[in-house]
Amino acid sequence: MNNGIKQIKSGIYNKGEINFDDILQSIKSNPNIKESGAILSFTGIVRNVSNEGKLVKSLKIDAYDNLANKTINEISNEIKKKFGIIDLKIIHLKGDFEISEDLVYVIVASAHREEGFDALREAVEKYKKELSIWKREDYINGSSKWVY
Amino acid sequence: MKVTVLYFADFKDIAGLDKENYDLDKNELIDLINLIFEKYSLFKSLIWDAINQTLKTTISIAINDKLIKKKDILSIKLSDGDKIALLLPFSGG
Repeated sequence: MNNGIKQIKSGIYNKGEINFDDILQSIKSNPNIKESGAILSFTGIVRNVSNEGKLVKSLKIDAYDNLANKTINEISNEIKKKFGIIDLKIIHLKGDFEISEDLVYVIVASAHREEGFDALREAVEKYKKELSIWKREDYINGSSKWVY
Repeated sequence: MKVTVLYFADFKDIAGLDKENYDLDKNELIDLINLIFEKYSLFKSLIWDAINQTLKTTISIAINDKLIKKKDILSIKLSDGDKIALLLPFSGG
C-alpha cells in the first residue's frame, strides 16, 4: 500500500479480483506520474458475436498464469524501454464472463500522447499474440469452442 | 521418473483435470506424449501431425514454466519432477 492506494502489478487475475479504477489509481501513484501528460487505456470486453458470426452467450478464459506473467513482464519491459513511457500495466482476467464484461486492461502513462498511443497499440497487439491464454466461446445454440 | 503434465483449454475439458502425474520408464518427451495419447486419444487429433509424424507446428511446449524453442523437441530429455505443458495456439481476450 502507498498512501492507502493498492499497488497493482501487471499480470493474470481472477475475474472480480481487480477493476479498472484500482489500476488507474495505482498508475497515478507512480512517483514519476508528474512527468506524464497523458494516460491512455484499452479495455477488451466480451462481444456477442464470434469472428465466424455465431451468437455468443458467454466466454471462458483459461490461462497458464506462471508463463503468462513472465511474458507480460517481458512485454512491459520491452515497451517501456522502446517508447520511453512512464508506466504500463497489462492486466488480463480469467474465469467465466458474460457479454460486455471486461476481460483485459492495458493502461499507459506517457509524457506525450504520441508515444502513449504507439505504446498502447503495440502492447495490445503483443498481449493478443504472446500470452498463454485461451478463450472458449459458449454459443446461444448450446455448442462451445476453444478459439485458436 | 515422475513428471507432472499441466492441462489448459481443450485439454482441461477433455481430461477433466488441470494437471496429472505420469510415471515414465523412458525420459524423452515423445515417451510422455505417447503415454498421454494412450490415455486421451482426443489429444492426438488436437496436437499431432499424422502425415509428418510430429507435433503440429502450432503447438508449443513449456517445461517448468519456460517455453522450449528447439527443432527436435520430441527427443528432449525430461527430468524427475519436471512440469510439462502442451500449449495450443494462444487466444487472449
